[in-house]
Amino acid sequence: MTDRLFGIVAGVLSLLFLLVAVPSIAGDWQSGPDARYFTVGPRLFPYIAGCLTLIFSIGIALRPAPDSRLKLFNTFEGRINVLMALAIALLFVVLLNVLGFVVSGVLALVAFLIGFGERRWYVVLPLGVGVPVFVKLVFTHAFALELPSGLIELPI
Amino acid sequence: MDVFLTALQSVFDPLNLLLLFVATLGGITIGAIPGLTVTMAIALAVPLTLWMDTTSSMMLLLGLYGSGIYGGSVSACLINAPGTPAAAATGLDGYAMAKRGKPLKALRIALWASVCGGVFSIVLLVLIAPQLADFALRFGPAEIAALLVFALTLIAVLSGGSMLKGLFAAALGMLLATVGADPMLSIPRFTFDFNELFDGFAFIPVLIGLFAIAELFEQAENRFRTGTELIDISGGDPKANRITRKEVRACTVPVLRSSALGSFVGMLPGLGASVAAFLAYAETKRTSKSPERFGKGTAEGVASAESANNAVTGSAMIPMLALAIPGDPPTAILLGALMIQGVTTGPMIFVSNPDVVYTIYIVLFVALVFMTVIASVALKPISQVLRIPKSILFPIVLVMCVAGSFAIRGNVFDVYVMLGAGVLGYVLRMFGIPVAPLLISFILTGPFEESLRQALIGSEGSLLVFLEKPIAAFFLLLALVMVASTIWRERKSGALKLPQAN
Repeated sequence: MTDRLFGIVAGVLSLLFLLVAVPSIAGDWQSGPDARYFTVGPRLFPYIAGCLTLIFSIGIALRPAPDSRLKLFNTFEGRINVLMALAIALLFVVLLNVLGFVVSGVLALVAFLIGFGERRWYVVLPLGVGVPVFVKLVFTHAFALELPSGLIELPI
Repeated sequence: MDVFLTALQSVFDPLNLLLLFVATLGGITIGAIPGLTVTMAIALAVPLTLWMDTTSSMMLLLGLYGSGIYGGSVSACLINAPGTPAAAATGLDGYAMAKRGKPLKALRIALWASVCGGVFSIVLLVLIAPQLADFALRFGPAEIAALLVFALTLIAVLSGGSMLKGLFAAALGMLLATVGADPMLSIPRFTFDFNELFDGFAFIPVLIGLFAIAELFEQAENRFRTGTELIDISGGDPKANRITRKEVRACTVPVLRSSALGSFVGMLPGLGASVAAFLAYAETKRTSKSPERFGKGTAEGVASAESANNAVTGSAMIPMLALAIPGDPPTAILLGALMIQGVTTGPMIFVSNPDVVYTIYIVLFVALVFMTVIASVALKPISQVLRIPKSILFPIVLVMCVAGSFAIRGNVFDVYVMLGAGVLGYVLRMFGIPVAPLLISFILTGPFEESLRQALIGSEGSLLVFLEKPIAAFFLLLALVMVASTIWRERKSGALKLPQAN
């Protein structure tokens, strides 16, 4: 069931890609603008890639692997855990430009540690604050790589 | 000779040596932690190389790569959970040996076998890569396109699991790589008016997402639990933990054979270190006079697996340097890191950037020396990192991922790309689709598209150009044979049969 479901969804998406997205690419010149020389346009490769994904999606749907038991239907707790990790990561990214790397990093790290069962404050606090500050210092000062400061300018 | 000396001088710069030492230590440590793979470590380190020169960046990345594979054996022997997939075969005998009170012996055998495998493959790299590159200089666009078709097919077919899934992953990688300006006419494709997409998806956020974030989600499923108890390496009789002469004699032939096998596997795109280790282990067991000892803590078992997986590190560089075809995810990342440095691999690298080639040779060798020193004196403290819970390590990885993805181009868009790639990687893993072909085809699509279009323009659209050139026709035929033989094998083993309960 897993492979069949995956194959069908991927097949439909490939078909949409081929029928809607690829034709939207401008200027597919089979022969130059004034037809004096031959060239291959920018649509060729997306067509090839789209066709290949479609063919292999159909293949996966028609010939699913025998051991394709639905890992998708893992425990309810497992799915909640993944969603929680995703939500925290997403929040971290959304807050990056507003709060800056350090503050959003502290929030994300503390949320992650507590969310996944770490209750010892002497672990959560030093790690939660220390890691984003350390990473920011290393990136900015040792490697001259800028990280977002956000609207709150911190003196680091 | 001058170029070699210049490369030697820059490698032996004290700061660079320090960097390599730290990278090697980091590689062993990260490799030892189950869940934190070498690929992830290299992916996270690439952003740090942005402001480094080529030598320093290679020292950082190759230090992590070379030692990370060995690091995997530490946890394989001490907690029976390989730090890297490549060390899974090592654990079969290494853990059994450790449980019998000889953990240090298992790790020492793993170390010396790793060093032998590493040296063997570096020698092979030095001997073969220039010859292969010399041959590849004859390739025109049609031959390059056909070679890439063959390489992508090989990677997809050999990446493990179902061939269809491997091929699907490679096709998806191609599709994702078409986003951004067309490489020949600069016409935007699928950019949806986002300026950030004009150059396509940045390579580093994609790879960090596919490997690090996807792993984080997978580990989050089980709330980052680790179940096994750590075997203390200071325990056991010190005498029993020494490698005996008898064991050295017994291991010599298996190590040499496994190094050769591992080097050969490493040269083929798509197979990688874990396949090499299992093949070598199986071969050593098959040819052993007492195969019943395997799995119960035999020295040959540990030595063959470790020499083979480390032999991959040098030999995987051969196609990467000579043909610009990465054999596995770590070499794909190295290829990308070299691109960031403005170095294009492929046959011309031996002419245009011989210093980079010599640097890679020297760094691989010096990294092995450092690895030997570090592993000889610091295994006990390194093994203590196995006590750090994953629930602490992975949130730190998340912070590093966000920082690394942002730093590439200084925009949050890339961090969203990383997160999207992470979700994609997780979903693909869930459905058993291998991620390695996706990453490698994502990297190879640019040159593939360019050479394909150049070949077609030259032939005015005629596909016969691929059959008229003997080398191109040969590669295409090989690709066809590869697919046909895999279909035949999968049919024979029933992998493609319709399942009963689907």
